[in-house]
Amino acid sequence: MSKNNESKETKKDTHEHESWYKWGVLVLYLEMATAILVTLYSFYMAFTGSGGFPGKH
Amino acid sequence: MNNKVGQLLIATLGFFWCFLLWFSTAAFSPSIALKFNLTTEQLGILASSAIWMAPIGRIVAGWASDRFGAPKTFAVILIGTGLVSIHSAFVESYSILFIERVIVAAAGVSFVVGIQHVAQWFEEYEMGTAEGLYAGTGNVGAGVGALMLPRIYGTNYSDAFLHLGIIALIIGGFYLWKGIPAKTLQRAAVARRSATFKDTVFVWTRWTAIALMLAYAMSFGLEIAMNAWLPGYYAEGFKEAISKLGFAGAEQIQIAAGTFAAVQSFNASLFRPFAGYMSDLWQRKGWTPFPYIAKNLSYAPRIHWLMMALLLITVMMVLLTLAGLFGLLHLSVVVLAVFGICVSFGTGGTFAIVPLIFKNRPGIATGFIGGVSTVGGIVYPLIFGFSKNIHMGYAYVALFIFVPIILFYIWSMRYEIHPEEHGLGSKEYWLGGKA
Repeated sequence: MSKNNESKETKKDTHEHESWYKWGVLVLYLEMATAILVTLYSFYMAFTGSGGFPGKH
Repeated sequence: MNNKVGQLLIATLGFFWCFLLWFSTAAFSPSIALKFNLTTEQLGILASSAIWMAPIGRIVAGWASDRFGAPKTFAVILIGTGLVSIHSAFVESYSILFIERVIVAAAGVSFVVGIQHVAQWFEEYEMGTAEGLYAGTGNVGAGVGALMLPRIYGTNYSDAFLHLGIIALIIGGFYLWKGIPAKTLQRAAVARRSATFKDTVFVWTRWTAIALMLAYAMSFGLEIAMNAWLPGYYAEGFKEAISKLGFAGAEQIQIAAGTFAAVQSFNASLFRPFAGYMSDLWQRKGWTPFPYIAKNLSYAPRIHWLMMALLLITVMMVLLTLAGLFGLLHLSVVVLAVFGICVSFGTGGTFAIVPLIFKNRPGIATGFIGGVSTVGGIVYPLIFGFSKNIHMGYAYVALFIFVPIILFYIWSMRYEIHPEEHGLGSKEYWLGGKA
């Protein structure tokens, strides 16, 4: 019986998220933005040959 | 700090600092090499030594977090490695410094402890985001260390090791003080009761555990392999293209190559929480697009999301080879950026599933999956390095290692009912009537 319950349980999640969740999602967007900035900086170096770590190039 | 967000913050802070400790030696390796007149081979050994403790250490740490609770285990790791880091600041012999820094690098095993801690506090429907935030934010410690430590301390690695060690002691004490092993006493007790040899063998012999371990070797194992491999790859494989951009001399080529390589590291770390969020999203939407893989399990969409990540990683590896073979540096860096994101999908996707499949044995499962998979960090660079053409290694790994792993993943994830019970020997054989 319990086995059947597991497989037939809601595959689609209908839980209401608590308030922490939206802050968590905000943090992950900020982290992604940081990653994108580093990527753009690296692209800038690759495409123009300039840049480098500050004071090193 | 008795709420779950507080526990998530403590775990993330502890893990962030452990990652700083883990990679702090690498950040100062040029200064150490200069002081002790190290050869290139010795420098290579010093760099690779950072991973030596990971496979076994993570297995033990995972078991310990189930048996003793994450706060005690995390505190022992932070305080132990912190004390050795402090001592290493005053060492004058390279041999002793080397041994002590290998011990400090063991701080990296803490990953599995925090995963277990977070799993003991959060519910199924938010697991992906919670584990992603923990692991992704903590992983940034490695990048921050590489970027900030040499700027703050210059070549004075002794002061850095001393300060990192002292702060590790403070965080370790705080973790012990404020950390609570699980949301309920019952949940902690279930994990404690499951930390036996038979439970360990049971988990290690499950097809799903092996498939997830291999999936993590395809993602995190690859991530740490690429961290070590990529700077040398770009400096060697695109030497002419980088020179044409105006980077003259070995030092400037090294800086350019290192910056291109950093794209992978940052994207793989910082997109990881997003990968967990995507796992939650697929779960919410109920997306199960792939044939043959289970569709009716309560967490089936998460399994399908990881499948998507594994396919993307494989495709990106082949594209990296193609960009290299055609000598297209620009394309290679663009592919590398996407590659890093796909790797994060794999790492975040894996640990959005592990605590759900092995609900009663999160530490043992995490230790096995997070530990054994790091062997990839040692194996892949060897394949890349021994390929006759420096660009072909990615395609070889993709076709001869990743495709079979994906096929095994599909096969082992086909069970619609209790997939964790299938493996070498039945559940009854290993555990009797235990849940």
